[in-house]
Amino acid sequence: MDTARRRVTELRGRMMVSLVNRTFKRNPSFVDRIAITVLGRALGPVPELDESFSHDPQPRRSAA
Amino acid sequence: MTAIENGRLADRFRKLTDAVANRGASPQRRDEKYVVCTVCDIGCQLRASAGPDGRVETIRQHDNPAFAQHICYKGTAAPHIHNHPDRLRMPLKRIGERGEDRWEEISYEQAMDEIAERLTSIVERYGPEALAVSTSGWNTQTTSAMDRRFLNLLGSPNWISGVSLCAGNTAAVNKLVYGWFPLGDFTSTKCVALFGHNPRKHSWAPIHHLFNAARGNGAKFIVMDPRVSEQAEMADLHLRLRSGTDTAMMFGWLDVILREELYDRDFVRDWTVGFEQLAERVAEYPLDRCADITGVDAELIAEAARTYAMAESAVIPWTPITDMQISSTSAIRLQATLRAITGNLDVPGGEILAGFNPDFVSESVLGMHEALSQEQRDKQLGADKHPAYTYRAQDMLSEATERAWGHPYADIVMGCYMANPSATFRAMATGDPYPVKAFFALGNNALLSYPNQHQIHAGMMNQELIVAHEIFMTPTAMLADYVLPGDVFTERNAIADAWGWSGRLALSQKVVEPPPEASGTFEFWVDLAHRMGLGEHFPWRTNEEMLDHRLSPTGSTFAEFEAEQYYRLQTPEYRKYERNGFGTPSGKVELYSSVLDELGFDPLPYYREGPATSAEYPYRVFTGVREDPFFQTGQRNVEVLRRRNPLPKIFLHPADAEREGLTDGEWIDLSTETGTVAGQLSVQESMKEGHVRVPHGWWYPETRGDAALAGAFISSDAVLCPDDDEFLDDEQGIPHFKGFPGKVTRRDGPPPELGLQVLEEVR
Repeated sequence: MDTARRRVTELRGRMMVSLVNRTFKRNPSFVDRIAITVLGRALGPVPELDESFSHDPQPRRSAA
Repeated sequence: MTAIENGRLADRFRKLTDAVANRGASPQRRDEKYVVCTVCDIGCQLRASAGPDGRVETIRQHDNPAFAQHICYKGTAAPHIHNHPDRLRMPLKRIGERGEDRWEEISYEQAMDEIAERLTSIVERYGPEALAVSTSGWNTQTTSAMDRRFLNLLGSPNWISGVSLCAGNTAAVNKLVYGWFPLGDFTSTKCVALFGHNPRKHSWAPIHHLFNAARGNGAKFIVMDPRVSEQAEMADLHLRLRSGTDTAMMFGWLDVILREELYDRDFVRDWTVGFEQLAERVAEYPLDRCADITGVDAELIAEAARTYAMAESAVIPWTPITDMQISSTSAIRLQATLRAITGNLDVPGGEILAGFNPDFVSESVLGMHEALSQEQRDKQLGADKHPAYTYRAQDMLSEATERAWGHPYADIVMGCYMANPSATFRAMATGDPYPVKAFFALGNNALLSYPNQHQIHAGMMNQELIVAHEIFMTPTAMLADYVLPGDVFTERNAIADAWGWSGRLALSQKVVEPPPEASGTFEFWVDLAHRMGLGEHFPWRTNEEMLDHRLSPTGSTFAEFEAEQYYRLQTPEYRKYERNGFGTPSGKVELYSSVLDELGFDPLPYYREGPATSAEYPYRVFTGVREDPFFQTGQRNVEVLRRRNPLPKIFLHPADAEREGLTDGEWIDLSTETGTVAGQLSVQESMKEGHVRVPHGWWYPETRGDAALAGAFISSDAVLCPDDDEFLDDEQGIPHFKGFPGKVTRRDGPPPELGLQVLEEVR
């Protein structure tokens, strides 16, 4: 990888972590909320947990 | 900004962002707390809430979309575990013979007073090294290295843990190569090479989902596994190697990479030592030889090597499979070598050297390793023959570690200053080289957790004092003099820092109160230290005071941290080695290990064949395998999980089953020269012929009172695993769990100790 491209990927890596860190705030600021929106759109909808997570009444058996 | 946030525009924006951010995961409720699950060791952050009765009632997936899939059915079973009727709630003192499982309830204060008095007497008679401690940090979570601090101040070097077989030893060996233990950047990698590792939806869920995301981003997957595992089914390349031959596989890769010059020439020139010697060693393992050893087609090995080396970025994630082989040290070093020479160290999409998190005082500092004298360090059990993860080898890195990382001790994943478990249990049993007469097991079912279970049992039966700190009565706890009830993750505040590996800080909040007489391991060690005259070194009396101390570099308290955020990632700083060099004596990646050379070992990696099969023991047995419902030896007493896997399954290929005249579902014995265990046969096309797979950690809590030690010797894989020198890796002294000789035979039904009624109950 050439130096310029490497620097771009490193910058992107640092920016991603900075952006994600903003989404962990308990009382998000305006900028944090932009980060939350960006992350939500990037990751897409989160699937609901399926029945395999449920322990009631009788879960299916699964192979190891 | 404030004016906007207080306005209608801000309200509308807030609703919009909430809707986007929480798609599929309902938002945080007021009564919910963030917790870090410790049912297994991966540490998913979840949400928990209490019911009106003051007990933890619900566990839910995270509301942040980045974490919402980091959950498995063991996590959602946490209320069943934490509220289990068999939870230990009062300290117990043995009143019968050792192992007889007869107790009287006493107070925590009485138990701690008596333990301190008896331990003091043992130390006076035999010396401080007569105390050995076995623990599992992922179960106990809040120790904050107070166990190491206590031992170091007392003068005992004999701390052992399951991490000697799993991740901790890998960290120590990685340190020999480049002074740190990297973690793969799965979020942007273009290639993942898995050596037997098989994360699944309900086992290591975060890694499973990160791998799926990496596939979605175009990453190629190479899987080395004798079985057609779930990861193998999804792989671009699957290499079905003979178990226990990881080292030979990587020599084959290196032969291709060096001959075709697929390595990073600049990095090799500037940042490695020993490349020429390595090349000479690789020349001893040409591709065809490696194909013969591994049983994998040479061209397939070459294709895998090219795929890995030519990827824009690539990772070889840590794997417990490579941890547990007779040439494990060489295999781990070769993984480290591949990462380095292909230019994948500390770059995006490669392997990140996280270093210490500057916001959080590390356990490496809190453990006070500097307090242990050289005289006592020299007594660390196993360090004479197998020094790689003991003080003897790791102290040789201290100056380099301080130069590179700012502190002389780097106890990554708790695995870098350990005694050897087999040597410790041998000393407990025989008094050789000196007596070990007190044994503490915290969050750790030691009897079933290391090789040669019969020796562990003999060692425990030869103790004057055994203390177990547990949430349930286990076979190990049944052998104790005192059993102290522990707390669980919904009953304590914590910040999980991944044991110095990743640099993350994850909040875990107390949801409910623990049983009044229960304690965390932090309290246990602090209270014991104060009773034994070491109180001045333990100024923190509560876990929260310790958390305040650990957050002191930021000027924050725990209360402020939890009010502000629930998670914090360390912003990556790439290619850190350009500043102070690598944490090795040469300051470079040591392909030729100066430390191993000085210790008298081969400074270059090598392949060593495991014990050969024979006419009597024709199969290669591999063990240590996890089943989704359980973590290590735990959860067999949790009905909602046990129902999913009621009995231990021994896997065999259909051709092998036919040759043995065995049919799916019948009970069989699996025997080695060391012992025999029983299990139900599961005939699986996914198995490789000639191999037998046995699950890890089985015992039968429902037989307590009927079977000795609740069936601890009926199906436990630790019974099968020898720890004689011919079965041990030389440098670390860890056992060869991946391919030791064994045989299978039909048995007449299930072991009688289990009882048919019991079997019906668990079905």
